[in-house]
Amino acid sequence: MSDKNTPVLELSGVHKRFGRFDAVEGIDLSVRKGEVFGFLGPNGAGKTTTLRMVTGLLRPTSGMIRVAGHDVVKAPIEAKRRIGFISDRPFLYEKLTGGEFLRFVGGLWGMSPAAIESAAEYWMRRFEMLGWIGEPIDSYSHGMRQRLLLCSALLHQPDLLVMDEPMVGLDPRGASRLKQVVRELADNGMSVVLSTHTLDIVEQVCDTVAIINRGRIVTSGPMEQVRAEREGESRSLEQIFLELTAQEEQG
Amino acid sequence: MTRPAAAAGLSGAMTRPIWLCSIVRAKLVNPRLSPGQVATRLIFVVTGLAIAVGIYFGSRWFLDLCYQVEAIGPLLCRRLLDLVLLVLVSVLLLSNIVTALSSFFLARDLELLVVAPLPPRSFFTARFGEQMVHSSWMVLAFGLPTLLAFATVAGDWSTYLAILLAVPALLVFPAAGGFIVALLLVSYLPAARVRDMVVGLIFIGFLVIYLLIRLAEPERMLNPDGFASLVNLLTSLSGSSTILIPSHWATAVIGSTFRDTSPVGGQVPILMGATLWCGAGACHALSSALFRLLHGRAISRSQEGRAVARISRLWAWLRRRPLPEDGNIRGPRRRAPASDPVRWVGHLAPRGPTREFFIKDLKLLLRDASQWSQLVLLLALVFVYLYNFRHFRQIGESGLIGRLTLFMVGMGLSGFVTTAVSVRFAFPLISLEGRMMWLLRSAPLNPRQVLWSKLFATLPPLLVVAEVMSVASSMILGASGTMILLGAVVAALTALTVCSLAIGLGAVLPDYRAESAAKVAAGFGGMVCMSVAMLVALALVGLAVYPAWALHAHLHLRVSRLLFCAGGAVVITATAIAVPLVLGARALDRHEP
Repeated sequence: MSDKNTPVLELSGVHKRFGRFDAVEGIDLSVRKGEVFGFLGPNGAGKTTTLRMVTGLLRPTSGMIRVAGHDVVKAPIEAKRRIGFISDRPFLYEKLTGGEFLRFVGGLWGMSPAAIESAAEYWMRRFEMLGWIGEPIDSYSHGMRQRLLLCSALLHQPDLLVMDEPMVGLDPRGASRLKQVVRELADNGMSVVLSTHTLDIVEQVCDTVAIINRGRIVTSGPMEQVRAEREGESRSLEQIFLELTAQEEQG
Repeated sequence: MTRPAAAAGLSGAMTRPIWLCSIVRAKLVNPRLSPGQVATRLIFVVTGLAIAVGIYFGSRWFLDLCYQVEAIGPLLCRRLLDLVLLVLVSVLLLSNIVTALSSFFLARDLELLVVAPLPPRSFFTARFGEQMVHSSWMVLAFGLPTLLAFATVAGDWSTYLAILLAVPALLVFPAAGGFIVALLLVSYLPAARVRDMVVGLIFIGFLVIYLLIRLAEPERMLNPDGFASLVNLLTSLSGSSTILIPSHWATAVIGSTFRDTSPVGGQVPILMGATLWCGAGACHALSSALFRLLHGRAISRSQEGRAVARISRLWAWLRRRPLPEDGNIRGPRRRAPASDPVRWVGHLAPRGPTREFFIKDLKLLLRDASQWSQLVLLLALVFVYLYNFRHFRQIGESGLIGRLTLFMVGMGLSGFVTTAVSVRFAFPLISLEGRMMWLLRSAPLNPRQVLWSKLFATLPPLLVVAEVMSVASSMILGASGTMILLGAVVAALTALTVCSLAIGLGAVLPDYRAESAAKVAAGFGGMVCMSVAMLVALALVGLAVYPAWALHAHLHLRVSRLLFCAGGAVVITATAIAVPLVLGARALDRHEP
């Protein structure tokens, strides 16, 4: 896994059907080691469904998903061991304290108590949450819950960090800290896949971007390439996004 | 919609604000019922009616006995009525505090209604009525049959009329009292914590009342020798019945219609009735005034958490811990895992996810007042069960029912309690993870590990409860050592099987949207689990009949029959453990949160 070009996440022909509705139709993509991958799309496009399939919360109807070489369906435990996940619906155990929640999560990922303590303290400090570690979660604000989730997802040093709408609820300072952390993590070799509606975050942080609409990827590639394909680099990601998703709506 | 049209629509709704409040709440609290839920509710209604009828006839039997006591019968009935109404009002007061907290401060539709331009009086009236109905219907459903029994035994047609006149007014007092207490509490404490605290207090209150009544053994009325102590109990319990208590006014109104009694202390029933209704009106008016004065501020404070800071300041002062200079109470405060007592207890569990689940579930249990208070109630029930088992021995000694039969009945009862406890505490465990499934399913865990963890957390305490009941009841019956051992083995197998059934079926028939463990246990899945577990428990008891009979009669055990019983028990146990756990793991694996 030391090679920069080694794919940490591979999706090949991934399809998800709910009853008679195709939420995701034949997605292929690959995320390399140390890459920050932005997943864009309008509401109901299939972003969350795709990310939930990557993390093993949903089972693909067909296709293959591999995380660090492990098939998510055939070897889910090995694949999940390498993933850190931040859900778009941050439900937490309200009656636990932040520290207790992190100890529980660390335990589920098989970390030793000493490693949990050290990692919890490090990440809680990074996200300016150390003062709240002994407080019950039901006293946390939405942004604080989001930061606690970030800490829990990073606790076991995953190879792949999957974040579904991570900026929701974060104040500008928290959002800025998150962007900084994401870049640092990627520079240290962690791959990050994030879905968001905040296009400037994608422009600032992501190396590669994919725009999904109606369950299909309409464009993907490095940021510069996506811009170049759309008649010149001067166009903003927002213009490209609106144009591509509008075309699909009309089509 | 144009602006005038929108305004007209709003105005139309505003003319019926009470309905608006109720409709919004009904939509949020009672979504469309599935056929399974309708069936469950029907079963509940039928069961409830059966219980109410049982209470009526039970009360009637008891009151008949009291009424026939020479010289003091009618007076005793009157004092009992006073006691019943006093208990009713006390229970309703506690129940109203919790309901008022939910209705006025914690309801999901509150944000919508508080920002809406609703007249305060309409809002208060709608919520007050809803609070009164929600907190009173169950107490009334089971209290009314007792009052009707009073009318049948000690009164005439006018007693029914008096009940009809007095009870509605009486209900207003605890409702108003509950609202005012809730309002004042929320002004100083966060609403959620107040509710937890009050729920705990309610269960302790129930426990005390239940224990007092059970330990007094009202059935000793059958025996005149035991009568004196019952009178003592009634005297002590109703000693606080002063003229200032609304239940006393209601007693005066209803009791005045009893045969063979005269008004106590010359109290005029009409005057007492007027006092009751005027008092109810005054309480409602006072609540309404306090609502207008304080509700807005209380709602705001309940969300600010200022009270938390106040309590933290007091706590810091008590611990002589200097406050941070910036005044931030929530300064670094970390408890090392080693000093965490629950974590220390957690070392009893195997390392890995099982231990983490065990610690997490134990903490959540201890911090949820509605859960741990039921545990206390459970322990009290076990105690009362064993306490009452002494009567079984007397029945056995009288020769009315054979000792073997009593032993088998004891095993059956013990199995029933074990089943009920496992359905109440083990069955909801998977459902309660509902909203956290995103974490459990994304963690590197096999679904089987999740189920084993839950089984490990619930089986040991259940085993202890089952064994204590089985061994103690066998010893009380004076069973031999081998019989006690047989009972213990059956109890252990029952605990093991019903616990596995509850965990496995909890994953097969979950209710991930339920807000509390009690709701999960009382739902469709809980009833299915209860039925299956009862069948399994009965089958295990049934297989113990032959060895118990042979041991009791000192007969030589036939190996073929013994092997049949033991083999049957092994097959039932293995099937009841494996099948639900395998099905549960499969259901958990297929679940897509």
